[in-house]
Amino acid sequence: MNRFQTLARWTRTAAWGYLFLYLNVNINNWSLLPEWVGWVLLYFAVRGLKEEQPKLALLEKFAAALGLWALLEWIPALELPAWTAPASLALSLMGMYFHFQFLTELSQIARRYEDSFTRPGLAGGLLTARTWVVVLQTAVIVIGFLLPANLEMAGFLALPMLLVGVVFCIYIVVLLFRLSGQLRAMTPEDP
Amino acid sequence: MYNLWAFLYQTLAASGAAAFLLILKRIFRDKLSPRWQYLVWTALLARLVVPVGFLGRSGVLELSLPVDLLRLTVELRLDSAWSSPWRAGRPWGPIPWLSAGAPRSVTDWLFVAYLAGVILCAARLLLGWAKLRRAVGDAVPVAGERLAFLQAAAEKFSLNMPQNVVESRAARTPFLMGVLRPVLVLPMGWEPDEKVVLHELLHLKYRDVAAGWVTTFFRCLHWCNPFLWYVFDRIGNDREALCDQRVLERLEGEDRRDYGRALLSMAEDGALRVPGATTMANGARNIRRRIQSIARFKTFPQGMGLVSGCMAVVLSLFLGLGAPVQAGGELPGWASFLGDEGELAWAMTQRATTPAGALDAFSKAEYLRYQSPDRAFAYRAIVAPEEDLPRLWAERKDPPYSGSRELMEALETQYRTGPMFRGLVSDGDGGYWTQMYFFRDKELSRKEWDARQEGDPFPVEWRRQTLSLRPRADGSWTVTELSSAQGELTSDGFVIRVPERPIAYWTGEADGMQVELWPEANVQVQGAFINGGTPVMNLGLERFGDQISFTPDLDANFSSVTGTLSGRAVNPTGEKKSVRLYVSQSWDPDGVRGYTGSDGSWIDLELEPGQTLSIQSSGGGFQALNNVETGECVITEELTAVWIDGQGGEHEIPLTREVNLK
Repeated sequence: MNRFQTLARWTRTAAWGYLFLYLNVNINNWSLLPEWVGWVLLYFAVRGLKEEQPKLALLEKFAAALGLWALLEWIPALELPAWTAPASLALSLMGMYFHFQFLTELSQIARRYEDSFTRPGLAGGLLTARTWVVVLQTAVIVIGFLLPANLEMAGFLALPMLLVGVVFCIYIVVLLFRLSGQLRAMTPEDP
Repeated sequence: MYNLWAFLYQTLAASGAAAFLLILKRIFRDKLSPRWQYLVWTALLARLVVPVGFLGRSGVLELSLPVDLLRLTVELRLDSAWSSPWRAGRPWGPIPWLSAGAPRSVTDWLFVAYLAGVILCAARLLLGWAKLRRAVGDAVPVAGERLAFLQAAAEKFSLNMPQNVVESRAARTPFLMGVLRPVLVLPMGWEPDEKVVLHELLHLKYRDVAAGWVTTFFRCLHWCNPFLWYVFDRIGNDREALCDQRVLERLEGEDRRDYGRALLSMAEDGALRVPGATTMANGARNIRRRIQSIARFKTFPQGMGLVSGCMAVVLSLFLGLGAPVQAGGELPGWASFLGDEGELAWAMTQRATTPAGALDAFSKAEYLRYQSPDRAFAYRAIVAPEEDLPRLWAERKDPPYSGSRELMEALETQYRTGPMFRGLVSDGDGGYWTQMYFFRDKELSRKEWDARQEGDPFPVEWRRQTLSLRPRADGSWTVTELSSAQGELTSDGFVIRVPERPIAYWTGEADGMQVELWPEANVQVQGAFINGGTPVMNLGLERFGDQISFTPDLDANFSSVTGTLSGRAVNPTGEKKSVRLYVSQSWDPDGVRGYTGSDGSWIDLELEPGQTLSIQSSGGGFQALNNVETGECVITEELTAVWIDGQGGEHEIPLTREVNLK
């Protein structure tokens, strides 16, 4: 496996990670695409890509912590007590930072090899996705903050937010799969 | 902050927020820029400014519960002028003031001592500032080549010059002072260094002197909290680190190293901690840390400002305003373990955010009165207005039953089926009145087991409590019992009709007959008042709580509403009367929406002389678990009625609205 195939493999892993992270399919309140699996995949993607982008090493611990937290939330019998709210808040911020930095680093990989790609604009697309992910996450947290105080407004906003969330999830996943495809098509002779 | 406890709530909440931010800054130390490291303190500023419990919200790490427990334990033994065990005493603002009246207790005097400390601390800091002003009073304006050098530096970096540049023997390093008329003070004879000047000009650009005054203000308010003083020092250091970052962003290569050397040369100068002045020199240890940061200097990716800003917004909302109080919750074991004070302290941290939630807590307290007196006390206290708490406390300490036998007897004969709420009536002042009913088998109260003959009706007794629901200033709801009564149910069926007047009813006269009209609604919260299962008599009701949680759902909505029109007619005349009534209810679209059967009801009355007849019109209902809004359970305030004579002539009945709170 050459260097580009390795990069392609971990980028594909990240794409699957985002799919698990943002898409929820539930049967009887039991998630078929649990978020923690997404974090595990992203953790391995970070480890696999950090040789190419050393700054990604900063995100290893974040991915592990976020995965562990998602796992705790996923276990139905484990109802997290109210005193864990500060940890939950800290983890929300860590998640926000993770996506920002991770997509920034991936866009840098895309920019580095852009000249050899048959499909242009991946780096720019990833940067746009990064910005919108942060803005959307902030909006979701702020609406969650307002939710119990104003059910009507939250209900009004829930559907558009959900639609925008699904569109962005698909957008990010498609971008990452495309990046993976472009990297896989490269040969060791490429710059 | 009007008493010792209000100050404690505020200072502990700020400490909790600061501790959280310190941990977060540690987590993000090597990940986010100095801009974020400084910007994040706006969340602490929000926490310091916004009083604890603002809008009924609770901040992260607010620590209200231990303060409530301490307050109760202490104040129950005192007779304070400014504090009460029955008032949570959340601060109304970030600034302390002296309430009316003379101090009486040790906590009052401690608050006086705190206020004196604020004044002394402010005086000490202002004195330091005044000394500095006096020391630079004899400073001489910088002119000539040195001033030209400074102006050139400002121009080079596109920065504004301060109004005055002076040199003083009192200055060991350059510093900036003054908010409205900033002055750059240089050491006497100092040979200007472009990078040091740049540092001070950036302080000027970003108004760091004013930011220093803000922390000084809060230093005075929290003078007795050493942790916050440490945090304010950290804020000052972060401000300097951010200024270093801004300088480095404007310098290149060797100039950056020179800047580090300039900073190093100030390590021996000691920290200048005078309010209203900024300087590069903030102590050897801090300078060492800043030089390490300079060694690590890097530019952050474009867009880092966005993520930093978003994170700061989220933090400011959660730490400053706080999250909505987690509604409901079983009385925790530790609260029971700590005794009555623990239960009351826990109750005072809970808030019913909806009328349905308040009624849920009140009704569960009623139900648990004998089964679980500690939970009943706590749930009742959640929704009790302040003035009711002493009575509740006295009842808790001296319960109406003296032994387990009496308790068992009370438990056996308790009204336990229900609750049924008979609609909400607006009290005209933002609150509501309602009647809450519980039912029991009559045989149970008489202890006449199996006395009923087969085929006999099931006798059922009711107990009614007329309740007043009032909003508190923070938006939560209280419940007060206004009156109570008991009686026997004379009718049965799915919709229970109690043969007594509701709170709001209308009276009028139709063809000489006296008519009373009772628009009412049977309202339920949660799954209470359940049909099916083990019935109490033939009402089809279960014992309350058999299938639902006893935990109050403090942000509940109603679960169902069924509207009806009842009433009575009396024929005081000496002749037989036969009329047809048409009653129109002007349903507010937000009110009980036509649940009495569209907008009007036809009622045929045929009364012998002297006869009294009950009116019962069919009703309609709406059921949506925890999703019926308060407004949909409010009884109409407008009712019109006509009676139709034998020839089809319509005659309006002048109606008078009466309110019955007895």
